[in-house]
Amino acid sequence: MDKRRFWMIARKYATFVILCIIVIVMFFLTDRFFTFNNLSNVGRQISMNAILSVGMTMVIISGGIDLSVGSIVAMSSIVCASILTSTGQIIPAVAAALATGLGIGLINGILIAKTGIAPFIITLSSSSICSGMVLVVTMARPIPLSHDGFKQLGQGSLWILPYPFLLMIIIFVMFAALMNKTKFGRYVYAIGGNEKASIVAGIQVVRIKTVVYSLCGLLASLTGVVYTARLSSGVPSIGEGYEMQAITAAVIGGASLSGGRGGIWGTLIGAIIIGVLNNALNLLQVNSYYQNIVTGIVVLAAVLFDRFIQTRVSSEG
Amino acid sequence: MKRKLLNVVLCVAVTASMLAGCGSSNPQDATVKEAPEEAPEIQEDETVQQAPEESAAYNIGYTCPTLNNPFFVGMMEGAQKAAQERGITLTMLGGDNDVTKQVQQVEDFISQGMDAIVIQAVDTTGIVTAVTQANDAGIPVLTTAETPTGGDILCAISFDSYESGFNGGTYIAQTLGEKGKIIELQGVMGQETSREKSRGFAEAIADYPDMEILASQPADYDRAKAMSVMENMLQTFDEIDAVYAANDEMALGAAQAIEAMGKSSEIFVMGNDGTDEALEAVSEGMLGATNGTPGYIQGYIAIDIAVRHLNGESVPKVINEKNTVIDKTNLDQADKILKAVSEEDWYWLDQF
Repeated sequence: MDKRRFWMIARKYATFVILCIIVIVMFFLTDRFFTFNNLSNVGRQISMNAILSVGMTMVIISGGIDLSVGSIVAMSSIVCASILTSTGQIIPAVAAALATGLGIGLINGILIAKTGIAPFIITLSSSSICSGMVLVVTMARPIPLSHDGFKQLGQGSLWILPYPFLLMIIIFVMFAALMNKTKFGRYVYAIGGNEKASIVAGIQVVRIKTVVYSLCGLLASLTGVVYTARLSSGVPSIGEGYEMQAITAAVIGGASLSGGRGGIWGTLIGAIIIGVLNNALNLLQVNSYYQNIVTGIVVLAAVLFDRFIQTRVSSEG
Repeated sequence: MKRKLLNVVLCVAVTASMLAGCGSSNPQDATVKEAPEEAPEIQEDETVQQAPEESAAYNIGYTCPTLNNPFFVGMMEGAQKAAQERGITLTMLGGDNDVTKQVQQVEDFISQGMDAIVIQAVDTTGIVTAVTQANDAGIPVLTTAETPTGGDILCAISFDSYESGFNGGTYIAQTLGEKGKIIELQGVMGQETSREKSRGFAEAIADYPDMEILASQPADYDRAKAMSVMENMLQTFDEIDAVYAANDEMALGAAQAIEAMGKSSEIFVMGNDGTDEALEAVSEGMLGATNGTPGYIQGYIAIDIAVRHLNGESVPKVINEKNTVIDKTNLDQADKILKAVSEEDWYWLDQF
């Protein structure tokens, strides 16, 4: 096997290798990790951040960033819970929540694509507006739910697979297909790689970008719906800092913040690494302060490892 | 090629050893362990289980809203003290003020097979799903501070927030000679403890016809916010006699704003909690008083009650904690009052 090919393959599976290492280390350190209960816990815990990260990954690949996803989670949670309380119907509640996220994403996308103002600023503003609106509407009070069917969506499971986990798998398959197998996906990569060249090549940059941010908003509101079901209440205080977790998952998964690079499956591995690590540190009874340090080190190690292999690929080339 | 392979292997090894290192060394620093390695085996040993005296090694998980706040750090120290005395293993986690994170932590506690779980919830509605999961797993749940809105709670340990506010109002009224104008700094809008403190405070003041609350403003228990709210108040009102803040952080922020205006001698500031910094401020005269609600004792009680339950003792559903106002007169006793956990101080046993 020639060297370049070896490193190409290594790069593809680098994050997966890191995940395996964490899992193997856990296997030796505690017998609590590989239990049905715990694995199904981890599955449920990672699925929300993972779904959120899919949208973030698309945005990052397109060369942007979306800081409003956390607030969209909170807002759609409130919309979903209040409509569910007043109507008792799941479908209109979920539809309204998804429409909220899609709408905010659409506004983000149009503003970013049309004005050319940095996505960082636009989404930071919309984030602040959304979280303010959530507080105005709820007076910071959570909305408790007693709808059993809806609760199942977040807390139930099919055999040993929790529903949020199944939902996550569906989302990943769909969006991986969208990004890898369609023209749209290739355009998103192209825009992130070189926006000017994309315009010259006749790609409708404004339209593609708007769709990317809309989808990101939609996935954020889906995440909000799942959280609402999981907590069995609409909680105004959730969502804070979730954008950072989503960005972290995408970056561990190989996404580059300068755009054009990254992948949906890589992000899944990234989200699993974060989730497994959190779970592992809790199982090992590591104090919260140390957890932050360890998480930081692992993220750094993952990114350095990826970078190390990437330079190998280029130098062997 | 070989050397590069070696590089990869080294990289992998470094990562692995980093993780392994965290696993094996941190628990000793971070959690209180009598017998870190033997603990699981002891539980499986039937002869030990039959004698659940002081020697039984229990595992207790405790999740609190955050560990970046002096109140919760004090609570952690109190809980650790109780755990150490009773020879149990305590895992204390902070939830970054995010209820979903706390739910995960409780789920992890359940996977871990904790003998008891103590929860101080960020959100009393959102945490219910975690409480019911623990109930289903047959693990007793205790809570400190606000009680979750559902699920089975073995024992709820809390300060009566209404009483805290009432204490504060009464103390200020008496200090001012039952006549004066007050600014109230509330906690987080819509939060139950904030509401209750505020209600208690208002009702205490209502008993004094010559006392007037000029304004009630939320400052989110945050020092910087309280400082700017107070700056605005000082601009708005010419005559302010006292400030009542629902926690010490806000009281310190307000006191700083007042000091910057050179009005420290005119305005009496009272806080709530009894943090170390507040006590120092009382001794310097920056704060007039603070209503002590010691987190240290709260953490201690939670572990004490949990262990009593695990040892087969029956415990009450509710424990009311004591407030104590600390001012210049009892300041030298403050440390003793706020960390009073030796056997003669176990006042909560009277509530059994």
